Amino acid sequence: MLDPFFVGTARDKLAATIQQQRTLGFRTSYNDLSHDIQIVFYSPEGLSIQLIDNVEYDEEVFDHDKLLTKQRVHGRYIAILTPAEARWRVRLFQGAPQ
Amino acid sequence: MSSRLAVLLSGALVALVPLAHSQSGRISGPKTIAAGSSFSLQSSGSGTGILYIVGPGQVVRKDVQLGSAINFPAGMLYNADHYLIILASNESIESISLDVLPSDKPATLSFLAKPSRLPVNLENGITGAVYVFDAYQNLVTMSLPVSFSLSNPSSPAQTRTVSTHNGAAWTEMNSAAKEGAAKFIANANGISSERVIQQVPGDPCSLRISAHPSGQNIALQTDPIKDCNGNAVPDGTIVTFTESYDGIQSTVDVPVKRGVAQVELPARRGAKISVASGIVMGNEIRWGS
Repeated sequence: MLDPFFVGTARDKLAATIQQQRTLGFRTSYNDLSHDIQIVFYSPEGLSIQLIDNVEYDEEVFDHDKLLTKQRVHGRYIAILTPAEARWRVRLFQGAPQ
Repeated sequence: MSSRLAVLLSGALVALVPLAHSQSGRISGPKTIAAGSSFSLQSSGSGTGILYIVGPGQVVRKDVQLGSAINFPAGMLYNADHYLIILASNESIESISLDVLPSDKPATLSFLAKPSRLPVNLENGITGAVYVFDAYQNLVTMSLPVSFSLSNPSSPAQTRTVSTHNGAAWTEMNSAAKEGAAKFIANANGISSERVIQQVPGDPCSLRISAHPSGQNIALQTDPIKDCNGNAVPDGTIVTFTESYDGIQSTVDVPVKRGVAQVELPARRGAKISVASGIVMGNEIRWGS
């Protein structure tokens, strides 16, 4: 599920989080509502692009099947994308304070 | 009087006892912490609960005693991100948010330099871009100075200092006038990364051929071929000799060997012989006229 979109550090961190949640018996659902994306850096050799996404999403946390909380989150994320075989893939994404 | 007091006290106790059993857990803590640093959350209430720390980069689940501090040692929460902290007890579920910020100390640089090989004397021909990361592979978003240096064996080093924006910085450099390997170094707060850029001669600057008879043929040879900065063009550079005679044109492509190109063409009286390499034309010879 992650491989078509994520690579490197971003993929490793997400995969580790999913595995940790499985081990601990809970799961998180992120449902994005809106994105406001700015391209802030396109490296001159063309090998990376950096975006800032002001995103609104609903986050639901379940312990087994019991809904613990549902929150609407306004977040700011920094993402770095690098070219793969036929598309750009997210190499890093990181939440940042608003 | 005493019986009224006993009733009041027992009433108060009745009111207090269920409160002691069902007091809900509340949670408070810092809004932000640095990645990998120790921190504490304060819970209120009594009894036990489960604390969840949930983010895209990391999760924690922990059984806690309500009414006490919940301590997290250094290195526990290290991925910079938005986190939701949830305290679930029998009676209630409370949540707060926490931002884990990247450290301001660089630990690694991701340094992209291009191209790895280019002609000499090219203005702004070399570009370098840097992303700065902390020890936990978080992008260091606080602005930091990054110094870039390009050093050549034959000329003074070029240096530029650029501040990062959102963890990224970039620069452009000129290639040197003399061929050779250049060291391209990026440094942020003592952490450096190095790339090697190979600077090769440019296109030939001028071509000159000489000719002499060789049996039935003409032996043609160029002078040593150099670029406009005096660097010998690399062996293998193609030089094209063209002979025109009586409306017929024949061409021969010859690679440079040991700095010169040479070939033999049929000797025809009145033939015109010219030489070229890339877009550079050389002199023309008319044979035997």
